Formats: sequence, structure tokens, C-alpha cells
Amino acid sequence: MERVSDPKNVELSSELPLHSFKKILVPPQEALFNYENNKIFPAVNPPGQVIFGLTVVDLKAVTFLNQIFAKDPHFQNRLKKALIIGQSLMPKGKHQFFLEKFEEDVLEHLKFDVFLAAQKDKFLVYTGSEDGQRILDDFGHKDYEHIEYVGPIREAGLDSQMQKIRGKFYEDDKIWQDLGKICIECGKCTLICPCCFCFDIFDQPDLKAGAGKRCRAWTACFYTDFSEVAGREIEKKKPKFLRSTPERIRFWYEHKFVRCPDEISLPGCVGCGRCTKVCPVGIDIKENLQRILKGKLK
Amino acid sequence: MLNPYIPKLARIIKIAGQTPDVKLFTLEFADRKDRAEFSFTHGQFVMAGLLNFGEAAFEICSSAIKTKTFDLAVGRIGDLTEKLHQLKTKAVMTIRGPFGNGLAEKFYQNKELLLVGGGRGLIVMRSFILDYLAGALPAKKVNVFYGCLDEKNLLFKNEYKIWRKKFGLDICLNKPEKSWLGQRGVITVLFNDKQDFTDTVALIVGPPVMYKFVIEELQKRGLKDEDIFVSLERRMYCGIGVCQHCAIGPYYVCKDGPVFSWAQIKGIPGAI
Repeated sequence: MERVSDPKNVELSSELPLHSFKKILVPPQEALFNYENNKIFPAVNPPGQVIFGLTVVDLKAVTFLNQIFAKDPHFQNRLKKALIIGQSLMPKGKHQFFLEKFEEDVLEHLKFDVFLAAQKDKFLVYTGSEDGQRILDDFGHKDYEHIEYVGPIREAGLDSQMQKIRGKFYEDDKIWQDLGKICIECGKCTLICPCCFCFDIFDQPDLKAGAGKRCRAWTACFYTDFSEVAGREIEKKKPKFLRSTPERIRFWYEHKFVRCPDEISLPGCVGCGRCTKVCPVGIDIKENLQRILKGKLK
Repeated sequence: MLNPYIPKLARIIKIAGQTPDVKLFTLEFADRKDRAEFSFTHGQFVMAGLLNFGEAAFEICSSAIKTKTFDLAVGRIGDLTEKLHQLKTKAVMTIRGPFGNGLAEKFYQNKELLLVGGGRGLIVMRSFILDYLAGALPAKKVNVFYGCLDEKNLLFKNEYKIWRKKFGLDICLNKPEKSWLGQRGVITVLFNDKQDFTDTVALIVGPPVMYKFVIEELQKRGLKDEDIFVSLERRMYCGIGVCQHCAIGPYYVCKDGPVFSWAQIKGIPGAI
């Protein structure tokens, strides 16, 4: 993702950018509120931004985050102010999965403002919001179709393959032992994942006495302090609940393929393969999901 | 849209020393509307904090029927609590919540309620106890088992006299002075075969190592997993089931707990 300085340099591509839109809608750190002398002031609203050229894969992640942060005024404010322009070229990297060919009927389940569907020699233009319609109308482009957002899930509910993964998740526990042996807990997968959003909350005091802001910032469930609690140290270690690498890597998968489907009928994974791409020890999410699907070793 | 991260402000109106590292803070919301609206279920917690020092989860340990003020017992154990221990009355804290599921009355209505607290696990029990003393808890009877390190770490010591007029309080100390006349050892020594738990619901709160052994004792005496409740501790930030820190299996301790029935979580790896 880069800032567009000249529209002439823009070319739509099916390639997924290594870094997704995530940092625009879920910033690495943001103020939840400011305070001064025991008075609380709302955080300053972020400016509006245009996010151009998102593929369907990343639009699925936007849609996912919109469900997770449905009641979060900070996220909703950012999403409302952002103009999201999607496009239909489908990524074809070797690490990707859950991919379908682009079909128009996916659009009613995606959050976007404007969507460009590539044809042989032209684009079909769709709008997904009033903002999208208004901008095209103001620009004078009348040849578009409006798609009403009907929610993130197809009528059938949780995807059948996801249901299978959910059902078999706890069958083969050895997978976590095996992955625990190679995972070095660097957390790169969580930072690059367009669906990973877990956060810490902390206060950042200002130089002015009694003033500061309460912030939230990205963290990773692989970090050793993630599950630490207060208490006496045992063998120089603080008490914590995710004590080993297998427990931590299971926690990551559990979030995406157990908790998210249970809560919002969507997996916390859009199959973009970015985590596999950045993993320094070659952990491949596609392979691991296939292994979970195989279930209990007979 | 309501911003769930904006706290309410509450003033400390009383600080009472309890043990060498636990102080009992009585708080009152600064805003009259907040005072009037505050209500909670026994076992629920708040995210309490201090501006510049962040927030942490604390169980409410005062009456759930008299909520003009509320109490938090704070152990001096981390950066935030160290700072809280330095505060004087009139200092202002931030409060969000109450959050999660406590132990609702329907689970122990017309039954005996056994409260098993280990160490600081007694803190949350006090809210049940105070309302039982006031005749406002629908339990037939309350019994308290309390395991603690030694005499100087006993919590709410000055209240035992009143408590014991109304219900049984069995205490065992792990490393008592020679002068201690009561039971010695870990909390399971308080169980014996004369006890009748046929009509009992139990709530266990304590250090993780304690749960397994207490649950076994209760199961041996015929308690069903549905009638054994535990309150879990986890690192928490949001309090509303988003930030992921407190997740266990498919649940969030902040939103689905902190009180769970054993039946609900017994199959979850790492839950206790």
C-alpha cells in the first residue's frame, strides 16, 4: 500500500500488496481519549482517506473487521470517513486459498463504496454505499449499478469448509506440538494478517503534568506478556496462562477458526496467505488447515 | 454510538488497610447519574484504573444491593496497584463496567451456597457474604471455606465476628504461626466426610493450582459439574470480548465469565 501521488501511475493488478489496508482502518496505535486534570476529552477524529484498489480478498477482511468492531466508535468512524474502492482482479499467489473466480453476487456481502469489475476492455462500475453514489454522481459518471449491502454472510451461514474445520479443531492435538517445535514466536503473522486485530490498552502521559491519552495498540498473542497476570514470579517468570509455544500457536488458530466463527459466523482468515509468506520458519496455514480437516490420526 | 472505552470517574472516599499488601478502597462515582445507574451481579468485575497508569480488572467486593458506594480490595502486586496503594482519599480513579457474568441468583436460589476462597479469592466472596448477612441473598444457607497463607494475610479479619453469627466460616492456614489453633495445610483439608453437600452449589475462587483439587473434593461428595462454579482470572484490557487477551477456547473470560460452571469449561485446554 502506497500513497498515490499521480493518478497516471495507477495500474490495477491482481497482486496482493504484502501490507494490507489494515493500518489505515485499525492503526498500530490510536488514542481512545485524552485527559487532563482528571477530565476526559474525546480523541481527535481522524481525517478521511481513500483506499484504492482493494481486491475481493482484502474487502472480505474489511467486512470481517466491520463485524468485529461493529460497536467500536473508533473503527466505525474511520470506516465511515474512508472511501473504499475495490476491484475484481483475483490474486493468484501460491500461498492463497479459499479463492473463487470473481462473481458479481459476492458484492452484496462486501463493504465498499465503489467497485470496479474488470472486463476485457472496460470496467463495470458498482457502488456499495451512498458515499460511493454521491462521488460518482458529483463526478458525472452515471453508468453504475448500486448494490445494497445485505450483511457479511451468505444465506447458508458459515461456509461448509469452515464448519468442518470448526468441528474438527480439537481432534488432532499433536499438530500444535509439531508447530510449537518450529515456531519462533516472532509474531510477524499477526502483524501482517489483515484480520488480526488484538490489542493492548495503556496510558501515555504527556509532558504536561496530569495530562495524557489512553491508547490502544496492536499486540500479538505470541508475545510472552500477552497472557501474563499480576502475581509472584515463579522461577523468575511471571504467572501466565499461555505458557508454551504450542499453546500460543493453538490460541492464534483458535481465534480465527473457533471464536470468530462462533461469534460472527465468519472465519478470522480470508485466505490471503500473507502469514505463510512472511513466516521465517515456513509455517504454512494452508497445510495446517488441511491437517486440521483430516482430524484424528487413526 | 456509545464509546465503551470512556471510563466514569470515581472518588476514593475511604481506604482501609487489610493485610501488609491488600488495601480496601471504598469508591463513589463523581457524577450523580453514574451513582444512580450503577448496579451489578455478585461476581462481576470492573476495569478500574488511574489516569497515567492504565487499567486492570478488579472484582467488586461490596454489597450488590447498596451501590451508592462500592469496594475494591487491591493487592499490591504490579505497577498500577503499587501506585494505587500510594493514593489518599479524594483521589480520582477511572471505572468501566461492571462487566461479564457473575453468579446469578437463579443458580443457588433455595440451595446452600458454598464459597471456597483461596488467598485473594476471598475478595469477591465478600459481596455474597454482605448481602447474605443483610437477608438479601436467596440462598438457604451460606458456608465459607477459606484457605490462606498465614494469619497476617487473612482478609476482612475485623468482619469475621459478625459473619460467624450467621454462617460457618472454616479457615485453614498454609504456613501459620505456632500459636494458630485452627486447621493447617492446603484448602482441601477443610473437606471431611461428615459434610452434607446434597443441596449445595459451590463457587471456587483462588489461584489456578487450587481449582482441580477442590473440584475433585466436591465431585467426590456428589456435586454435579453444573453446580460447581469457578471464577477465572486473566489479563484483560477491553472488558467486552474484543481484545483477545482473556480468551479460553471459544469463550472470553471478560464477557462469558469470569464466573463459569465447571460443566461449561471442563473440556477446554488451559482453562484452569
